[in-house]
Amino acid sequence: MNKSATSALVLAGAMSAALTLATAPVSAATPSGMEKCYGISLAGANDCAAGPGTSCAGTSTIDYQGNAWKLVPAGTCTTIDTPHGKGSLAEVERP
Amino acid sequence: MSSLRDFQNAFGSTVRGAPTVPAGVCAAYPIPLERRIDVYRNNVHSSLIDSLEQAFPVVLQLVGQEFFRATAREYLRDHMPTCGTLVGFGDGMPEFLDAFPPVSSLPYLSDVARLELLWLRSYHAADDIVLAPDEIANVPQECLPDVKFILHPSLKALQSAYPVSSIWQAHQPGHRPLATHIGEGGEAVLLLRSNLSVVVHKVGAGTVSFVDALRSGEPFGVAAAAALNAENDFDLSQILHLLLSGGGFTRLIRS
Repeated sequence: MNKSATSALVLAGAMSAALTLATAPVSAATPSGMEKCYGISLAGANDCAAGPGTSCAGTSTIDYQGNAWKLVPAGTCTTIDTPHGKGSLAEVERP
Repeated sequence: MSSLRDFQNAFGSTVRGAPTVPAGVCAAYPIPLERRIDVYRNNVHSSLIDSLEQAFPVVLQLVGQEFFRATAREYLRDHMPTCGTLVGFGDGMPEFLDAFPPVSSLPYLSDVARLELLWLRSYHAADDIVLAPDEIANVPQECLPDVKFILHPSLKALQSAYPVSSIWQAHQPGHRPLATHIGEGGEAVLLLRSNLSVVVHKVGAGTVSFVDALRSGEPFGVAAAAALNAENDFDLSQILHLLLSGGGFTRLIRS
């Protein structure tokens, strides 16, 4: 294994960027460490409040509905792949 | 006179398939003892196969129930549970599938089983504390490369030569099957339990190298170098963010 180490400067830069993101304030309605992620939920598997035509948890009617959200670990929403692109922190037009 | 332990061992052998019935076991007329033992043995095997179906729901979908149950029955010949709980039962399935000729045309199957096992291990992993961001912020920059991070017990990583993440995602409840091209290269996943559910993240090869290096006790600087070695596009701050916000680190050790 290559035992060379990444420089302190690079590590510090990456860490401070990660810490800045990690400590960003979350809305009071969101459990700590979670964020609302739109457009990733499967039909019927959304957490709540899916908008017009639906009322609450488990009621989204199509996969990856753009105005239905699930709670995911904060910061991970936009890394989640769906057939319609990445998850979104805001409502999106899809599918 | 035999001890209870001797009797239980003999009865266990019978249930596992030994043709003899230990002394002391009897059955009421008119059904012969051997036939009653057959029913008992079949119930034990069926319930264990049921539990394997629940442990490997994606493998089950990939091969179909009939084939899965027949495969599981073969698996049981050498892999009966070794302890009183079913946590960990099925641990040998990936290696079994690797060596099981009827599935040799599905080379990705054992890695899908590995992913499902890691999901179970992550789900059943012990709770632990989460490292406070302040603790990292307090480390002087020049000391960062030598810091060692202790990983959360639920943090798991898997690199596969096959698109295991896509296959796994496409077979989650409610998902539509997606066209997945087996030849399109491997995928890596990171699993981390958050608020009692296991989240499967699709990641790059560098993330797996990073986590593996930290797990084996390498300091931060060496782990980051290993990750960059494995993946040119490795984004250190993105994976640090995922690990910090998901509770992937529990402690740090300054040397």
